[in-house]
Amino acid sequence: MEITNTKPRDAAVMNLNQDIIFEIWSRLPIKYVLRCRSVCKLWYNWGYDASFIDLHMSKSIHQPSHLVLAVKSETSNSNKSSLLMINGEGDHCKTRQIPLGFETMENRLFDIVGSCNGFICLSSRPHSGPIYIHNPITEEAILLPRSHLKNSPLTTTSIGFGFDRLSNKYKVVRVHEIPPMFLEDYKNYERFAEVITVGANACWRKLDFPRSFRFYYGVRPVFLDGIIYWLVHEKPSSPCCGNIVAVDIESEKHWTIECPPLRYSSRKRKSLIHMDGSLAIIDYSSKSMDIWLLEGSKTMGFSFNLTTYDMSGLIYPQHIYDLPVLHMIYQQRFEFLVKAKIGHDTFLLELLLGSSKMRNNHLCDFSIVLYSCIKQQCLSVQGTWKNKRLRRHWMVPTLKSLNAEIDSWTDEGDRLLVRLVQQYGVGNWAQIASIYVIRNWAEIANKYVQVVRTGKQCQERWYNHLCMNIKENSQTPLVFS
Amino acid sequence: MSSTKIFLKSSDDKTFEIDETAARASETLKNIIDGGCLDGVIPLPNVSSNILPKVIEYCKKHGGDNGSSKKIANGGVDKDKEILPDYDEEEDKREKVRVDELKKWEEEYMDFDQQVLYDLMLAANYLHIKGLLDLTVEKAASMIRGRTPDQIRENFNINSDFTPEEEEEMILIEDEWDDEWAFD
Repeated sequence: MEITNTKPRDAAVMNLNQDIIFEIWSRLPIKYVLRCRSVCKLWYNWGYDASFIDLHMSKSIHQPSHLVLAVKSETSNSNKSSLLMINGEGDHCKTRQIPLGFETMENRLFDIVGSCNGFICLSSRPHSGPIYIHNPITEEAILLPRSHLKNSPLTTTSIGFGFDRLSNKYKVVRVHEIPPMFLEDYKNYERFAEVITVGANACWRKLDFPRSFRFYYGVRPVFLDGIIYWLVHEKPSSPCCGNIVAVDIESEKHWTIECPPLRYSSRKRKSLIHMDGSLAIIDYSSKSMDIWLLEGSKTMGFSFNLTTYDMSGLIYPQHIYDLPVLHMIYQQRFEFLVKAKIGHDTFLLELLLGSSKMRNNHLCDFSIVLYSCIKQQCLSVQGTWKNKRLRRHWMVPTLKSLNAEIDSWTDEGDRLLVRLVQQYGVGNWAQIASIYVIRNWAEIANKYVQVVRTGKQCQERWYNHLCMNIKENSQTPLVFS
Repeated sequence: MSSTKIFLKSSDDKTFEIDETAARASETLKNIIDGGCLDGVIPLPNVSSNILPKVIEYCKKHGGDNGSSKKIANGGVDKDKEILPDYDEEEDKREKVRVDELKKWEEEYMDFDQQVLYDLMLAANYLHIKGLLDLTVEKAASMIRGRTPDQIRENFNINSDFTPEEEEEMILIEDEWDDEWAFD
């Protein structure tokens, strides 16, 4: 009797069907979904269900998203990147650092150049280098093939990452800007744009992009509702008002939106961000800022709605410098950039310290603060970092997988893995995975989109497929068919 | 509308009475009524007699009126709120009182043990009562939010069926995620 008493009690929640459990989980932040996975085996398996992952993503779009930053890793001396996730709600923020969840083929630093549906698009510097698409939650990553374009060291590259809802595919747009022989000859900048659809056997295609513009330095493209936007200007010397170039991810067509002029010549136009469900251009002065919110549509015409915010209460967090004198000097020399608007009048700001040259080279110190314009004070400080690079983007964490589309081991990939196992021995999976990434890039990924393999994936592939085949053909251990 | 009575039969053969307007809160019952298949009693083989009155109580509260109460049932968040041109302050006040009353009612209504919660979720899912499903599912979600896997197991009376090694691996993943960095 005792046994029968505990059993049904134990099974009560297990009587609920999958639909209901998925309904419950879809209301949870990703962290607790991961916790539910480690409750029992049934829930573990359900946690990987594709229909649940889709449901969760569709619901979490309405939840506050995380700001992700790529920074130099705190823990290791090598130049490894890690990700900083900041989650802002009300007047407080939470910050978490997570390592980059995959092996990269070189010790370079990464910038986050785009984000959508919980995936981030990472590019190593300079931006003509390899591009990865990574889900920091599932730690999956894929590597895009090399561009057809021969790079010169002077080439600057701007990368946009977007999702086409109609075809259910992700696309990456890359615009290269090649300077002319003489820099004054600004009209002769050569521009070359290309696009790739993320999927098996994809390669870069040429894309039509307006030629007579130049990018604003340091202003990143923004992806919003199926369109990638770039802020551009006509002359490098006087970037007065400029334009926005919009590229529709589905049709791959582009159009231009004229920007409003600066209200005062002392202001500097430095941001194009996603704000209040629309696109915003921000002009800065040292004590205030103008935010131009884009309204309207392509067919109805566009207009900009101006709001000015007083930023005079902003100071650089003091405790980073012990000497009051130094502090005084630094107060003169910081600039701020809006990263996001949280709530009604509260902004998440990035404060950059040091000369403009240092800022441009990403050598400056920076801090993330939450600032209220009505109270005219900093609500909280989310850390101060020294000499770090940083590129930020918003993302909504998801368990969605990109690998499903291209996750087949090719014969070439298998052969490479067998060679590496023979060379490094069974068991050194971390080392094998890191070398696999490098060799794979050199030999295969040059042409096609590739999944970045982890040590665990290499191990599973070896035990589940390769080692058996090799035993069967033990006479010819080196030849894998 | 005249209140036609509808009879529902639970899985253990007990019959309950409900107004047609109230029954329309359930998508499933609404389809049966509109489909003209009303043949005296509607059998509900998936709902027992100890849970059906609870369901009927919810329908009575939410069935009669339209749009606005559905929005309140979704946790008070009305995403598709329309701004009416003839905006009436009095109306707004009355609406506020109604919302507060309903919130209080919901609080009392939701005071029950876990077995009832599971049964209600199943019934709401089966009868397609969106408001009730949202309400119950949200309660279940709140039993997970902010809890460790051990606490979740305890809350739902689940026994872990992982081997010690597997469990250790889970804890490692856990730690990676729990490591919240507090800066000051």
